[in-house]
Amino acid sequence: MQPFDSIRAIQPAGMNAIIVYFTGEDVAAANAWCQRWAHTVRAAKPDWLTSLLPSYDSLVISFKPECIDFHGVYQFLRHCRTVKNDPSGDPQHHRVQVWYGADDANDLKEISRHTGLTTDEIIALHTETTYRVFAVGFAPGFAYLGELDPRLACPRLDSPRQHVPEGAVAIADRQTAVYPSESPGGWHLLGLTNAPLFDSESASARFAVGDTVQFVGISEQEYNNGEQHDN
Amino acid sequence: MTTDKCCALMVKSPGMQALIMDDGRGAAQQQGFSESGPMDDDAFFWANWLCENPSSTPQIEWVGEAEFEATQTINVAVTGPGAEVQVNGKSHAMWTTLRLKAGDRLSVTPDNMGTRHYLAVSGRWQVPKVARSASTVIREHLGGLSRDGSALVTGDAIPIDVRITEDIRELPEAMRPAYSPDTPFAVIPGYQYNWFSPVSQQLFFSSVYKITPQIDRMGYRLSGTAIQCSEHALRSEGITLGAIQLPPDGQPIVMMRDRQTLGGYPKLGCVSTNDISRLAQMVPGQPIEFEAQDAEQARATYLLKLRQRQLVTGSQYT
Repeated sequence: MQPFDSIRAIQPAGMNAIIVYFTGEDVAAANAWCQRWAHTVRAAKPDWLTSLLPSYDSLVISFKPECIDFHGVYQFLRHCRTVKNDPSGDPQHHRVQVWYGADDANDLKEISRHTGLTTDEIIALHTETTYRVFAVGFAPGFAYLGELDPRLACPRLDSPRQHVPEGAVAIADRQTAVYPSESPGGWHLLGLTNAPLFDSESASARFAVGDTVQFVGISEQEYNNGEQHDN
Repeated sequence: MTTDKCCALMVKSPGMQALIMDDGRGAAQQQGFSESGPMDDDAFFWANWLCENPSSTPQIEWVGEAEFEATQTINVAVTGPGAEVQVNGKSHAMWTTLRLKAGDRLSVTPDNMGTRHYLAVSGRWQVPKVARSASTVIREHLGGLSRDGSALVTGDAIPIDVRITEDIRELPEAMRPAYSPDTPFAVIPGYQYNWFSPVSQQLFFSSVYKITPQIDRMGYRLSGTAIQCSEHALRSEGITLGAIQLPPDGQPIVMMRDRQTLGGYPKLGCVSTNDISRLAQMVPGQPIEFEAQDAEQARATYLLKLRQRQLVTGSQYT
């Protein structure tokens, strides 16, 4: 399967799936192509499609083998005209309130040691960037946000924690994220948010790929009052 | 413990682990849900057919010796690798419809400890759904009777709108899965296959691997010849069923139903979906081998299997 246009490689991912890799000067550019292609395939609703798994610079397209083979999927992609916007709705912008330095989620000292920044500088850098959701995965509603200011980049913990609390705001390398539910995790923690990120009743996640997110610092008291002002 | 007055079946002993399972959350993977679904899709498919249920109807998937009690008249079917099935202490067959009356005790004792078995019950299962599936994912704390990912416990009652048909079905012997550990497992090369040297690729396909005790619904860790990859810097990407990850220690991990949706270890390909159910029934210590197969050949095998299924079920049932 020869690459073409924005597609730099295509590989089998089993009998009933292919993985498509996108070009781009940097991860943001490749991710934009990935999202555009994911929207295009989703909008076309081919009857053979079983699932789409977009990530940073790749897209897994799974199909029903009784309807098509991977050559057919390749031909479909070659004849697609990519659509620019997500037909399922415009990307949302989210403001997420964070109690930085919350007792249960505070690695600010560790982060200072790695970065040489003061707590105030760390919070200022984390809140001044508008992040883009590059991928959703790992756990339900877990959104990989980027890109973090390079001055804030920290490696992962040597050994992952068994329990990261729900709502923990975390960083690793050039990424940041919020843990939608309690889980193990190896990222450094900045604080807590009580913004609901995943609703298990409707099984819907708040952040979708392509959305933008900005963090806003709040006090412990505001956190405990639980006020939320989204968008 | 969950009880309900329209309950049809009660768990008397859940074995090592018993879970409510349907066909999973494939379409919700883009929101980060693991795919879930039955580890042994063949056994799951036939159990529902034997009970005249739509093919995605929930069932109980379990490991170990389990016992259930009917609380009203129900049709059930037990499928999976060899096991002793008894109703009130009397032996009965697997792969056939069984009629139970209120108070009947059904017990299943697997021949090999560690295999997975399925119990289907005729009717509409009144169990809650998360992201359009009742499947239990313990790690994600979702699905199952209480929606919170808990495994079934003794005393749990399964609410089902029971449907009784007079028809007793039996799956012909030739159609039952062979569960042979000796046939090599087909692998479709893909993903980062070209990151592995031709020597590493050959080593992988000529070595014998052992199933380790580190096997669960998320992944099967194997031990044997270490396969080294020349590169390790990979951005997280979508992981499909059967993907073979090679972490830095070179010991393969086959990703199964409850795998995370995205991951960043190099992968040399995928165990064919035709062979995943058989792999899911291997137990620790068993030696297995792999053979390379191209995607078209795997697809041909799959289409043949579908055709054979339809000869038994009729074309309407998929």
